[in-house]
Formats: sequence, structure tokens, C-alpha cells
Amino acid sequence: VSDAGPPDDPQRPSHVPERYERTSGRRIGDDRVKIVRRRGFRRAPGVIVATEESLEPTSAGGRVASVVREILFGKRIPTERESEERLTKVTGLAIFASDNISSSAYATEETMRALALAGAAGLAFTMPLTAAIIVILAIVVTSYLQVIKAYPHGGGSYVVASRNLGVIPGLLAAAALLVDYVLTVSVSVAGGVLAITTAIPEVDPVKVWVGVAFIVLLTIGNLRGIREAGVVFAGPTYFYVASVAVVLAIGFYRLLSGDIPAPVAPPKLVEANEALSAFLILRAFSSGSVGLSGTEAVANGVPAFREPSARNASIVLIAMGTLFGTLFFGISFLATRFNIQVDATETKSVIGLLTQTIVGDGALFYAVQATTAIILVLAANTSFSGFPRLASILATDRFMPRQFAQRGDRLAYSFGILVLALVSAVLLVIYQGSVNALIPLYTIGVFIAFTLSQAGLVRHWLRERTSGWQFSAGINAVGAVVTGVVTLVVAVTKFLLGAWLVLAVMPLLIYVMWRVRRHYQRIEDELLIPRATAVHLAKRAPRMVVPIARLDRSSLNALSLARGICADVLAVHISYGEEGAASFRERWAAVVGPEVPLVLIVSPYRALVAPLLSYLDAIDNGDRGRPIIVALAEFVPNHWWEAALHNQTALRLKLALFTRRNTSVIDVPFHPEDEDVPH
Amino acid sequence: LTDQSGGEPPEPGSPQRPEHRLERVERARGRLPGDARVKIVRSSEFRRRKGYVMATEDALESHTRVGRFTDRLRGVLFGRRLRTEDEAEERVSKITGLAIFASDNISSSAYATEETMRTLALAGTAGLALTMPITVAILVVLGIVVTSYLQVIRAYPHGGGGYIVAKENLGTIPGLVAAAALLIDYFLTVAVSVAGGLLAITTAFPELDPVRVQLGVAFIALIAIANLRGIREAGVVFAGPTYLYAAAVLGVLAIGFYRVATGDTPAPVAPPKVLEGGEALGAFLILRAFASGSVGLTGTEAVADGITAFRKPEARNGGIVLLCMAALFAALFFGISYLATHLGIQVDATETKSVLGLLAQSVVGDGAYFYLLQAATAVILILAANTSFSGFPRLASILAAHRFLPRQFAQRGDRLAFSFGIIALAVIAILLLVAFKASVSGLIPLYTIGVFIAFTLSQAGLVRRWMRRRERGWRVRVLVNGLGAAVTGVVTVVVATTKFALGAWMVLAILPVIVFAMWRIHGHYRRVEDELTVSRTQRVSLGERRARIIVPISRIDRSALEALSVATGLVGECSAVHISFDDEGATAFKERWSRLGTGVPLEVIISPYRAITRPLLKYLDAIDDGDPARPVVVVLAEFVPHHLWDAVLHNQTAFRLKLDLFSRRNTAVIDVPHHLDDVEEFQ
Repeated sequence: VSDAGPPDDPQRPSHVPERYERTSGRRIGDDRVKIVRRRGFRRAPGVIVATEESLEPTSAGGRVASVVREILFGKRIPTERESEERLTKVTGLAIFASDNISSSAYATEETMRALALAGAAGLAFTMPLTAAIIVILAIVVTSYLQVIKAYPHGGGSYVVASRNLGVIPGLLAAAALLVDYVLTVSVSVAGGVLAITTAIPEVDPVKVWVGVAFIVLLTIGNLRGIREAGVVFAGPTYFYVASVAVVLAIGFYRLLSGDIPAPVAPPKLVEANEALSAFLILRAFSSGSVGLSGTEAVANGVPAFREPSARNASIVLIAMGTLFGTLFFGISFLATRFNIQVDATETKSVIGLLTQTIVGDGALFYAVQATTAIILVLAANTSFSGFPRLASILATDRFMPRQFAQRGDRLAYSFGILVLALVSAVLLVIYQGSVNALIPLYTIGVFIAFTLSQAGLVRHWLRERTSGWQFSAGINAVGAVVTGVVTLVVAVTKFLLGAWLVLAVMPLLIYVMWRVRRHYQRIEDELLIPRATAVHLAKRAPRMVVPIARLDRSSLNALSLARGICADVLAVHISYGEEGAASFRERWAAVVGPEVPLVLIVSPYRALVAPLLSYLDAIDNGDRGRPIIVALAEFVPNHWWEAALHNQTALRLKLALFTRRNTSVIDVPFHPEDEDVPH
Repeated sequence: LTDQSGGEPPEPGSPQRPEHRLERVERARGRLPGDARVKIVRSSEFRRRKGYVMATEDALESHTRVGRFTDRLRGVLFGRRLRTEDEAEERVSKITGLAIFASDNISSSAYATEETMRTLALAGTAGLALTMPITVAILVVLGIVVTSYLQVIRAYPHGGGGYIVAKENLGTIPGLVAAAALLIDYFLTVAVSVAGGLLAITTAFPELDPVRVQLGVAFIALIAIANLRGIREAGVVFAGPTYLYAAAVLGVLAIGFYRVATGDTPAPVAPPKVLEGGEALGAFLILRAFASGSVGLTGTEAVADGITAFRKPEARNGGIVLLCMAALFAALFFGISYLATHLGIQVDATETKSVLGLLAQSVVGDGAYFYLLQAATAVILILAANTSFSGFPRLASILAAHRFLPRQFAQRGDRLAFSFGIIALAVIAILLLVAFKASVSGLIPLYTIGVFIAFTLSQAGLVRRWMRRRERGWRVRVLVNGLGAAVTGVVTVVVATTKFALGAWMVLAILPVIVFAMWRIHGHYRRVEDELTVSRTQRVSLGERRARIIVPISRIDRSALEALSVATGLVGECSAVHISFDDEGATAFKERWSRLGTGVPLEVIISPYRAITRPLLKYLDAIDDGDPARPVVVVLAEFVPHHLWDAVLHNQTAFRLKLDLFSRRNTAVIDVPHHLDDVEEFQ
């Protein structure tokens, strides 16, 4: 049962969490040994396993906290159940596609709004532009399918760019995506809140806090783990898709049956006051391209899918592309056929007007409106899956603090989720929940990532030259050029509106990631010892210095412990005057006696830390290299506020000693209830 | 090279020389064989005396460049460090003492007459006719208060003033009320004086008005720095303006009296707008005028609070200074009131011209002397704050010595000043100034109520004392102090009621909070004292328990090996523990460990829930082997980052573990810091 040494061995090591109890039987030699195992641990061959019991809190406060945590986030999940926590295709589509699919709610409108500036001649370009965007979508989706196949461990654009183009382009893609994920959360939540305030204007004064509450809810949902988040958030996504699909089906049916409805007019038409120019068309194209955002999420999060994860992810990506393509095409087609106009006041959406036109003012209309509002908020959820995963890959590559790579109790990347929530909430508060202010910052990051990953793939094909590489390279080159153009157009048209902020933050982010990596690298070089070499520990008996401010139970406790673990113990007392020194010596002789040597230092300038440090230096001179351990008696206050009432000398001393060579500090906390404390 | 210490010189030949000696022995060979010399190298940082070593100033020198820089900066700002034994030389003489402790009181002569007249003017000429009687009444109260403080100084020569009198004679809670009232009043004195001085400055230079808060903060910082240099230097710096003001006003008064006596009575300069009275002359109005004028009594308590700052004999010197202060104030106040009423000076309704200014203009005209007086008035208004900087830290140090305030207040800094109290006063006064945007009219209602509470309590305390002691002449004393208590009590009530809604409620609300906090602090220190105290003579036995030494190791690297090396050097059962998240990690770690060949037993814990701290704590509980009292020593490897921001990049696990272990019984933690450029080698 146990490999921890024979039970009757008096030399049994004491670091084993079992206790042996011997009982004598009735007859001579009839001894029994009982192995008492401790709660919280289970013995496996060669190791002990910490069971869930070992995580039980010991204090009342800790127990309350753990109950609250369990209610909010659910029970802890062991690492080995990671594969069960992965996503099926159905929940995966709901999680990773919500961002992309939600953009079908406004992609048509964004295109038409730009084109409407050139009047009917402009609006005639709606369908060609829709088709163009769908072609680009197909290119982007195809390239991401290739990315998934080539890099099945996730990472998307960052991995493609860093493997094929170099570290800096990789970091550029990563920074662009990180910024975009944060903005997606802020923009989506602001959009969802806008939909709510349009319906219920009373909410408007507290809209920022409603938005923050949404972010908190999304955070909690995602901290429960991606599977549960998928289950919770799948409903609304599919509901939105179904309701829009039904509206489109009825629309096509009426179109085919010749029952073409009269379009519902918006409150105010957008005035046409610009000439139709190439730049206007480009702007409309780039506005509509907002529908491509969210496409990169699946490729980033491949490891979140059940095995075979690459295959499942590809299927989800294709399904997402198809769904979005269908919805976008259907909405654009019917909107142009039914002559839906764009609302200048921005209170009625094109999709809302189209629905009203097709199905009238009934229940289905309100269903579409409600699910649209919900899916706009849930688009943020895609970021909550994508950001922590990308951050964890970056942290594994040492470009981000390693906390991002750690999985929490529920196997979620808790740190990344919390950071995303915090940053996006701060953004939301700074921009006062205004969609108009946030939208110019948006989409630029994702297109930089698109361009870099396409370019990376071109490089990949050129290098690998697998069969059909010319064709693949051709597609990706076209994709790179088109997404590059969109990036430029977005950057130029929205530069003054706020895109400059993104372009300014990105280099900063890259620099920070690069510095983080360099720091870890230096530490690594410093700390690592070659594998497979035996080391010999320098066994030099340390000497212990116990500063004693006053002879009380706390300092005697420290002295006692020091004596127990070290043969060479020296007590130091610093007094401000000679009388104090003399009376301390007298008391020392009575209470401690001669067995512990005492050094009395008189400090006429009333300094404590500096003379002690100088004293350590002075006695260190004789024997450099022999470790010095300074034992500090510390009083443990019952309440935090009481800590202010005790001198911070110990803390200051610890800080000063922390940077001293060859010196360790032993903290000996004093609990008044401790047994064995000298009285 | 002689050993002047008389202490035992180290035996150079002995290999058993104890290692905590400060001297290093260097052997040098001479030219001839056998001609060896032994050199004892003494450290300059310590000097050996009989039975102890003395840390010299060298021992305080910083090793880092930043430390040396801040030391030099500190030297420039605050001066060289002073030794405790030089305390006597740092005390103040009567002349500087008067400048320091009297500036608050004497500065109030600049506005006490005006405050009285402003209230009386509401009842017109009939009211103003009462200016002189009220002035005399205030001077009588001043006489009583000063007499009683003279008795306080004699009875309690170690300082503490109103607090000590009330505590010794009336009980702890009245004592704390007096202390809290005084503490609040000291804060307010700083804020009000600086705001008042700023008002004088911005009246002259209106361009400075937008930055007046910043200016006020700068003034407070300057006064704080001067006081951190020690009370003697502060006295020298601030003595000039105080005496200049007193001399300037006395000069004006002398010329005025001379002109009145010679029949050349000057015509009064009229203010921009005369304050018109529409109220009837009632008893309450007279009381209010009396209470307003009583502002002139503030600052009287400072000498008694800070008696320990005077040269020996402290009580005598302090008593003389108190008498001088009272005489000076009385002369100024009486003179100003008398001449102002005699010449018929009117109160300015717009509050831009002061009564003192109008009086000076009437007497000496618009010349250089007038401007000198105005400037001296502005300066002394600000310097009134300096009295608080002497009184507050001393009162706080007495309270801290009595364990009613954190003990930092009782410690003397490098320059023997009570630095913590000075800094605390400066910070709170700055906060007040910023919160009230340096507005005098916003701050003044909070003022004077605290000091009158303290007056009343100390008078009442004295009454109690005389009744208990029944020394010769006690009846007269009881009568005088009883009258004093009644009068100052009435002023307290009048001030509290008339100014309650204007802001005095804040003071009355904060007062109990401060009293409660001080009482709780005392309770805490008492409890800790009870828990910690050991017998003074009984011998204790040390180090009987064999400790268990545990080294948690997250990864095998240099810093972990350093920790392990320290741990194995200790006496006790040493073992290592590693927490792994999965089986593969555990196997790999065990394999690597066995190849290291440290000989230290290792336990590997698999934590399937990826937790580190809790399983480790539970492990410590589990191995206690039914003996929870056995000491456990946890040795933690810690990485010392070069920059502050580097620290964020390293896991905070060690920190969290330390926090948790701090509250575990019988558990000590050794931090073994790893410095990046340590030359330690393990191969």
C-alpha cells in the first residue's frame, strides 16, 4: 500500500502524510499496525494526489468565499477532464460564430448608408458590393481553413504570421487581434445597450452601468468554462439565425409569388449630396467589410473543439461562412429588390424595415428585433473565447505574463477573461457607452490580422510548394491585396475619427510584448541549470542573527525557533541610549542567560535599519559566502487596521535585506495562542 | 593603534575567534624571519565601548546610489542628523520660545478687535460703545486662563496641557475629549492661518487668486520642512517676523497715544463701506461679540502643551514666556481697541480693509510704515500656523506615550523633531485647505470651538484638583478657575450654537470619532501588551523543539538550489515538495530530482485542480504527525527582479503562500532571495 518505509522504523521520514499506530494484540508478537491516512491526500504510485478535500478552506471567510465561488462559477474541474470540457460543433458554432453572424444585422446597412450618399445610382452598387464582400469572405474562410490544417494548435493569424513572416509581423498580428477583441466587446455591448435604450429610453442615464453589467455577466458565464458558456449562449444565436431565415424565406416566397410588398419608409431619408466616385465605392466596401470581423476566431480557438479538433473547427468555420453569406446575401438582395431606404436618424435599422415590410408589425417582427439586440451583445462572447486563447498562446511563447497561460478552476483561462473584461469595461466607461465613438476604432485591427495571415500563407505556399501551391498562393495573394486595401481604406477614412488611437497603441503593445519576452529570456538564461547533471549543495552552516527590539514572548519565540534550527545564533539589540543598553543587558542575563550571545548596539541617531545592515556587513567581512539568516519576530494582528499601530520596522528591514547578497530572512509570526511559546 | 575601548581585544592567534566580532585580523610578515605583524582592522562604522558597540554616523551611510542621493537631499533640506544626547542643546531659549509659541496668540491681536466690533456694529453706535468693556472682559478671561495654565505648567512640567489636567483630575474620557479638541484645533489653526495669510496676499495681488490653494500647500510644506529641521532652527527662522509685527503695531500704538495725549487726535480714515447695524442691542448679541472676540484667546494653550521644548528649567522658562505672551497680547489688543474706539474707526462691510489697517492709516498715514505693517500682518497670520507645528507633535507624542495614538508619533526623527506628527499635521492641514479651497470664511466656523472645549476642561480639572488637595489658598483658586470654567464654557456653548449650522457641527461630529479611535487604539495596545509580556526575571528555555524544514520547489533552477542549500544547512528534518498538475510532469520531475543527487527526500503532489497554495497548506497539516506544536520552517526561493515592473511578470504564488503561512501556527518562512548576478555555482 505504501512505499513510505517500514512502519516500525523509528527513522521513518516525517514528511509522509500518514501516521502509523501500533496496537499490541492479546498474544505475544501479535502486533497490529494501523495506517492512519490524512484527509485531503490519496497515495498513487510514487506520488500523492491532492484530492478536492485538500482545497477546502479552513477559515470561515474562506468557506463563504468558496461557496459563493461555486454558485457563481460552478464546481472545480480536474485537468484530466479537459477533453470533456471541449465544444461540440453545435455549441462551437454558437460561440465562435456569434460575432461574425451578428454582423449580418448591420453589414447591409453599413454598405447602403455609404452608397446612399450618391443616391439611387449609388444604391445600385449594393448587390455588386455584397457579392464582392462574400467573395472576400470565401477567400478569408478558405485561407483560415488552410491555417487550421497547418496549425492545429490554434493561434490563427499570429502563428501564421510569426512562423512565415517573422516575429515582428507575428506580434503585429497579435497586437491587432488583441486590440480588436477588446474593441469587439466594447462595441457589441454598446450596440446591444443602444438597441435597449431605443426601446426603453428611461435606461439611457444608466446605460454605461447596464453595459458594465452585461460585461460582468459575460465574464461570469465564460469563467464557468467554455462548454457552459456555449450552452448558455447557443440559444440566442440560433434563435436569431432562425428568425431572420424565416423572414427571408417569407420574403423570397412573396417575391416569387409576385406579391411584392410596399417598402416601409424610414422616418427620414439619407440625403444624396455626393457624386458617385471610386472613393465612395471603396468606402462603402470597407464599411460593409465589417461583416468579415469574427472570421478569425475559429482559427484562434481550434484546441477548444472536441477531437478531431481541426476537422470540427473546419466544419464550424464553413458552416459559419455559409450562414453569414446566406443571411448577408438574402438581406442585401431583398432590401434592394423591395427598395428599402436607409434611415438618416439611425433609429430604424435596414433589417428592421425589411422585416416590417415583409411580415408587418406582428410577433415575428418583435422576435427579430429582440434577438438582434441579444445577438449584438453576444457578439462580445466570441472575444471572450478568442482573447484568452490568443493570450495564452502568447504567454506560452513568453510574450505575455505567464498568468495568461494558466487555467483556472474551471479550466478557463481566467486571467485572460478578467483582463479582457476589465479593459473593455474601462473603454466602455471612457467612451460613455457611445457606439459612434467606438466604431471608428473597430475593424482596423482585424483587417491588419487578415492581411498578415494571408501574406503569411502566400509565403508558406511559396516555401512548401505542395501540389497545387500556385493556385493556393494565387488565392491568398488576391486575399492579401484585397484585405490590405480594405485596411488602408479603413485606416484613412477613419483615421481622424479615432483609428489613430489603435494605430498608436499597437506599436506600444508590440514593444511591451517584446520587452516581456526579453525579460523572460534573460531570467531563463540566468536560472537554468543544464539537465542531467548532478549538483552538490554547498552545505555551509548558516549563521543566524536575531534582532530583538524588546524582550517579550514574540521575540523569545523567534529566538527559540532560531536556536532550534541553527547552532550559531546571535542576538542583536539596538538601543537609543546607554542606560537602555545597560538595562537590556541586565534583563537579558536574567531571562535568556549566557547561552545566546548578545550584541548591544547604541544608535545615537535613533536609526534602526541602517546600523543593523552595517553590522551585518561588518561581521560578514570575515567570512563572505557563509549565509546569514536574519530572524524577524512578527506580531500577527487580529485585524488589518491594527497593523498600522505596529512599527513598520520589520517590513523596512525585510525590504532592505531582500536586496542583500547571501542573506535570507526568516519571518517568525507570533500567534498569542501558540503552544510552546516561552512564557 | 591602541584599544581605547577597554573591551576585550580579539586574540589574533585563536581560530576559535567568535564570528560576530567587528574587528578583522590581518597578518603581515616582516622582513626578518619571525617578524610577523598582526594588524587589527577596525570598522569605522562601529566603536567599541564597554559592553556595547556604538553605531557611528558611518553606519548610517547608504550603500546604493539612490540611497546616497536621498541622504544628501535630506541633508540639504533638513540638516545633519542630531544625536539623542544633544537634545538639551536643541531646546529653545525664552526669546525663540516666545516667537514660536506666541505667534498664534499674538497674531490674533490683528483681528480680535475687529471681530468684536463687527458683531457690535450690528447694533449701531450703542453696540460699538461696548467695545472697550468687552475688550476688558476678554482680557480678564485671558488673565484667568493664563493663570490657570501657569498652574498647569507647574503641576505638570512634562507637558500635555489641557489633556493632562483633564485626564488626571476628571478621568480618561474628559482627558481624551480635551486632547481630541486640541488636535482638531491644531489642524484648523494651520488651515485657517494659512488661508488668512493668503487672503491678505491675494487682496494685495489679485493675480495670485487662481493659484491660492497651491500657494497655501507650498506655505504649509515650507513650515513643515522648517519644523522638521528641529524646533530650534524653526524658532530662529520664524522669530524675526513675530517680533517685527509686535514692534510695528506697538510703534503705531505709541504714536497714536502720543498724538491723543498731545491733543493732535488724528481724523479716522473711513472704510469703503461702513457696516450698518439694524439689530437691537440684546444680551445674545453681546454674548456673540464676546465669543467672537474670544478668538484672541486661541494659542494660549500651546506653551503648556509644549513645555518640554524649553531649556531647563522648563517650567520656569515656560511660565515666563507665557506671561510675556499674555502681556504682549494684552497690550496690543487693549491698545488697538482703545485707539480704534477713541478715534472712531468704523468696520468695513466689504471686508477688504481691516480695522488695524484703518487705524494705522489714520495714525501714521499712507507711507512706508503703513505698508510695512500690512506686510508684517500678512506674514504673522501665516506664521500663526507655526505654533501648531510645535504644539501638535508634542501633544501627539504624549498621547502616543500614553498609548492613545500610534507609537510612531512618539519617535524623534533625525533632527530630534517629532517628524511623524509634523508630517501628519501637514498632510491633514493640506487636505483641509484643499477641501475648503483655502476659503477663510469656510474654515473659520470650525475654528475656536476645539480650543474652548480644552480651556473649559482644563479649568474644570484644576477646580477638581484644588478641591482634592485643599492646599493653602485653595478657595481662591477654586473660585478663579471655577469662574474661568464657567466663562470659557459659556463661550464654548455660544460658539457652538451660533456657528453650528455653518460648520461647527463637523467638529462636534468628528470629536467623538477621534475619542473613540484613541480609546480603541489604547485597548489594542493594552491587549497586545498583556499577550506579549514575559516575566522580568524568570529564565526561559530556548530551542528545544526539532523543526521540520520543507522546501517547496516549483522548478529545478538556480534559485531553487540556493533555497535548498540554505535549508540543508539548518538543523532539522529537511524535505522537498513539488506540486505537479499531471502525471507526466510528476514523473519527469522525479526523474530529474533523482539525477540531481541532493539526498533530500522529495514528495511529489499531483494537484488535479491546478491549485498550489491550498494543497501545500493541507500537506503541512497532514505531515504534522499528531504534533501540531512542532515548528515548521518553510524555505521559499524568491527571485529578485531588477525593476519594479518586472515583478508583475513573475507568479505571485510565493507571495500568496507567504500570506497564508503567516497566519499558520508554529510556522516560520525563510525567504531566500536569488540575485540575478549571484556568483553561486552548484556544478
